[in-house]
Amino acid sequence: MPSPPATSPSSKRRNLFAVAAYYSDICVGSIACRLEKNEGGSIRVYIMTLGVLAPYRGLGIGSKLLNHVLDLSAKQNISEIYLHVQTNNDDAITFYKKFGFEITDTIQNYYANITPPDCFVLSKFTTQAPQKK
Amino acid sequence: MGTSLPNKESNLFKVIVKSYETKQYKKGLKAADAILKKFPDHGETLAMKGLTLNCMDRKSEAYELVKRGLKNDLKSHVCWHVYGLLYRSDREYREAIKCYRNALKIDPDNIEILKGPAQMRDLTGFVETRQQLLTLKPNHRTNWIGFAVANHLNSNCSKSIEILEAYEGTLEDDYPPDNERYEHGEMLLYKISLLEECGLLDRALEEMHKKEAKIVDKLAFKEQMASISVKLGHLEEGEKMYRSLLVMNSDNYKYFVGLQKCVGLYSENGNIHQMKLLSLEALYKSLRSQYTWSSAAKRIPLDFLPGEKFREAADNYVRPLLTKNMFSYFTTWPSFFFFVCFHSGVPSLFSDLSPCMTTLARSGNFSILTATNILEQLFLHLESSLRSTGSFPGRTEKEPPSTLMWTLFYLAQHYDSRGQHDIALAKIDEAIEHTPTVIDLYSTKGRILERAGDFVAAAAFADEARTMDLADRYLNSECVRHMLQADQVALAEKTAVLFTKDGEQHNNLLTICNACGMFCYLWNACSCRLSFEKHYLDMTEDQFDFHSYCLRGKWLSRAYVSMLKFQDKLHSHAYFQKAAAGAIRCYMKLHDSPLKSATEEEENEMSKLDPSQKGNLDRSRKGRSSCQKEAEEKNGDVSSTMSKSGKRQNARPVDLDPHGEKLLQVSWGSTFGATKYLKLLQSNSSESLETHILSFELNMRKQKTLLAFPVFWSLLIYIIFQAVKQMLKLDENNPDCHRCLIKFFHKISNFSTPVTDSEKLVWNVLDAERQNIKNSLAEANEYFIEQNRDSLAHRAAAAEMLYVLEPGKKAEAIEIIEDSTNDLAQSNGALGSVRKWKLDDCIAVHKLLETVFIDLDAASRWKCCEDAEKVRSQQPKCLCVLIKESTDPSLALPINTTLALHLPKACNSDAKVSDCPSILKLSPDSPDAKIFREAGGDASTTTNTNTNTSTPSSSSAATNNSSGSKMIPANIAARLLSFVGSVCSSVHVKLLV
Repeated sequence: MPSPPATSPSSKRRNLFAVAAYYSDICVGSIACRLEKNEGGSIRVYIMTLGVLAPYRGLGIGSKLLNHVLDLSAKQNISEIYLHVQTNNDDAITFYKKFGFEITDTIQNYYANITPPDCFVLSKFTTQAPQKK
Repeated sequence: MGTSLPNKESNLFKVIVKSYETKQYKKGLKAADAILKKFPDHGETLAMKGLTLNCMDRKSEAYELVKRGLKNDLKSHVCWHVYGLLYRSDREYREAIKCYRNALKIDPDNIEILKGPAQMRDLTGFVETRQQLLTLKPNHRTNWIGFAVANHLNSNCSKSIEILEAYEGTLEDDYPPDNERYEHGEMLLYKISLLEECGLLDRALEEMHKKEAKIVDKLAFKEQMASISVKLGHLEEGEKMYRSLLVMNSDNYKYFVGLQKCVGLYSENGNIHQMKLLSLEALYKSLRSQYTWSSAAKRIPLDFLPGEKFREAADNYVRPLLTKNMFSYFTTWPSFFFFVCFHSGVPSLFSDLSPCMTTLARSGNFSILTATNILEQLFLHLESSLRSTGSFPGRTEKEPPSTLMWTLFYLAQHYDSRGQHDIALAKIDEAIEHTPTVIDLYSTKGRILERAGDFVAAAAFADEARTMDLADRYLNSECVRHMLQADQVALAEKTAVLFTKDGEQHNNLLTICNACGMFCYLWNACSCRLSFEKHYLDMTEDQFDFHSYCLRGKWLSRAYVSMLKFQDKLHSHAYFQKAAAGAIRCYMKLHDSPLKSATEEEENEMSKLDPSQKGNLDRSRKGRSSCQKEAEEKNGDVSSTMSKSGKRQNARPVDLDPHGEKLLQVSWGSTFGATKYLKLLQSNSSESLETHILSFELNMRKQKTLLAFPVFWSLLIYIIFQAVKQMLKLDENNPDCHRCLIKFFHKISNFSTPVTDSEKLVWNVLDAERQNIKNSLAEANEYFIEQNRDSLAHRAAAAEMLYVLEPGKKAEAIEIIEDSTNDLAQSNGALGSVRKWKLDDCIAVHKLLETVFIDLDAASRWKCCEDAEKVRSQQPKCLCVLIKESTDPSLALPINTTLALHLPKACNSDAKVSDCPSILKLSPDSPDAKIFREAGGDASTTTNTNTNTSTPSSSSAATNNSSGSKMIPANIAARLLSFVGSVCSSVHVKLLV
């Protein structure tokens, strides 16, 4: 059984995890994830949000944030990471593909208030062996 | 102590004393009771019990016990000492000193008591007791130093030098052992600074050379050395010193100034000769290359460089500050979001650069306008380059994205300071869109809106900034200030309470005070002022703790003396001036419009109003009283936390009168309170024009009541005359001065010829002085206008005086005002112009037209704020918020909703009330939205009736059914209106219910 992040201070919201990115003291981006249990009992990571303010994109901030989460999950021996992306968000899809994510599913009418309302599920599976960068 | 007791009780007594010192009051009380069981009349125990109770908030019992104890044992120094302590805790220092003196008479060698007088600022007493202490225990160095400090404070420098020398004489050659080297060094430095103070510079220098090895604080040593060298004229020596200091700290402006002095390139007023300018430039060039990291070396030249060179230097100085590219890595905080935004170095760039414009102007290189223009162009240039290429002009490497945001931020502040609020808002909005996570952007937007006259929106943005960092006290008090300005008192108090815990709320309080003072919340304001005064007392209290700490042998004599000097200057501090001036204004307003009549008026209004409006008023009243209650609770809270924290043992009486109504009654009809503050101001800041203006205004009010007593009256006239004279000396051309001068002589000329001797005396002086002024007051007035053709404030003052002198010339006076033109000083052509008129001036003129000339017609013609119209067109939300808030009783905002809804069309502004719900994102079913909808329909049926020409008639209608409430002062209403669109004075009466 992999344990939740060792640094987590509060037991109640143990399955939540968030990081903010600062660019010369300005908060410009963040990533938020949560831990979920598979039917089989294994743990996977769901990336709820990942965002960087528009003017600060293309500086590698998003990559750093995502890598941070990937590293942590690797350390925890978590083998699956997944997220939802709106089907027309090509930038995001190319971004995630760079990190080894693949489209594994399409959900119709996932979003209630934006068009198109469909989304892809992007997932990344890693081998059980912990990766070292 | 406790000698007359048997052994066991004597030990118990020691327990009392100990537990008093360690603050274990309950234990002490128990011990005291144990003794008193056997010896119910033992004086010292009674006294100690009283002292302990005093610390447990049982004041009256404490006094009773201590007095009884004293009665039982008059010969005991303990009892007297305790009595003194008791008085001290209540800040009755005079009584306390008496008690201490008595205690000393009985036991002249008691060291504990001897330490008392310094704390009371009884200087001669201090010297005496210190001498006694020294003779008692000459082997303690503390006592030597203490005696020296006492003499120093008693302005007997040479004596204290003697003492220190005598002390040194008692020491062995190898004196300072390793563990006391620092203390000894401090003593030596203290002695040197004493020598310097006495003017014995040579000796000081000699001493320094001799003792250099023994002084541990090398930095202080060098600073002292440098300053003495400069005073002695040993400039080369000084230069060497300052250069070595710069190696230690190359960002201390004092060192740069010192160095400039040494090489003869310094002048007090910044006027540097053309020839010297070049060498000064060269000096800083070399310094810059030497200390590449020093920002001071780059900043200082901006104060003296001319024209093109200034531009270049500013460019170089500004770029790295805008960039500030550090990639601070992630703040990892598992489980929840955590944002910390610092107020980083860049926001201060504007406040850093703006004084350099004035210094430049002063040094005569060029005017403020050109300096500002250069900077404006510079920043616009940077902005356009950043926008198009993402890098600074002339460079290829990309700047970080935040640079553009900071540049926009600077430009917003810049345009704001030039009165071009519309451009400022556009810039700040763009910056916010660019990076919405920077707090400073929001608070600055709030400030811009405030200057543009839209207080409600300003408060909203200040609140937004506050919620972005709840732990920031500055943001909190800033938000409170904005809320008070927007008349959201209840909200403001709620917000303020978040940060008021202990007694330490200096800045907080002050901002609150100012806001209150500005807005006539007299009862609130007065009590705030009082607590402000209290704060000053607290500081005095705090210094007592420091006294004993300093003298207890910490050897901080230099810091100690400078602290005492700071204390003495406390009352001349700018903030105190502000607060005191505000207090006096409050008192004067009280004097002019006592509360009683205000409430009566309100009652009368009530009877006239129709039922629906009555309900509205009632609601707003309730709102007010609930906020009053809250304030009381708050006060209770404060006192309870104070006693809990145990930080301040002497419990203060709870402010039972948080809204100062009692105070109001007391001071009503008298101006004593104001006089008290005025005296403080006069003795401490006689250089300030405001002091004298206040003195004039106050005394003019007084003289009416004193007319019956010719002797006092003529004395008072003389005082007023002095104030006027002082004013003229300080700034002859100030419009307020001019007002006072004319008013004064006009008043005088109305009185009959002198009868009594004293009157004759005063008259003679006045007559002599009058010769200096122009032949007649009218001519003086003419001359004044002639001198200041282009200034609105000056013209207004002159017009007002013309009306005072010759009421028949009212039309002419109004013409003077209306002829003023708001010149748009063209600057660079590219991006607009600077408006010379300030919003405050315009409002003052408006008020003048309305209240002094009582000419609503002219007032309604008075349009000044085209700016405001632009603000509104960008911020339609604000108007809607105003209307919405007017329906919210908890805000105590007595604006009649129906009347407020008429506002836009009455002002010929194109805002559509029915758009409000969508702007405010209200759900269409909410009651708020309903108001707007109904009003929108209502308005559309009656449009086209209100044009500019019909304003007089609507004004008369307005006076019929409204006005009279003192809640919103005219100037706020004027500001609100000026924000909504072009100013229509008559409507502004309508706003008040």
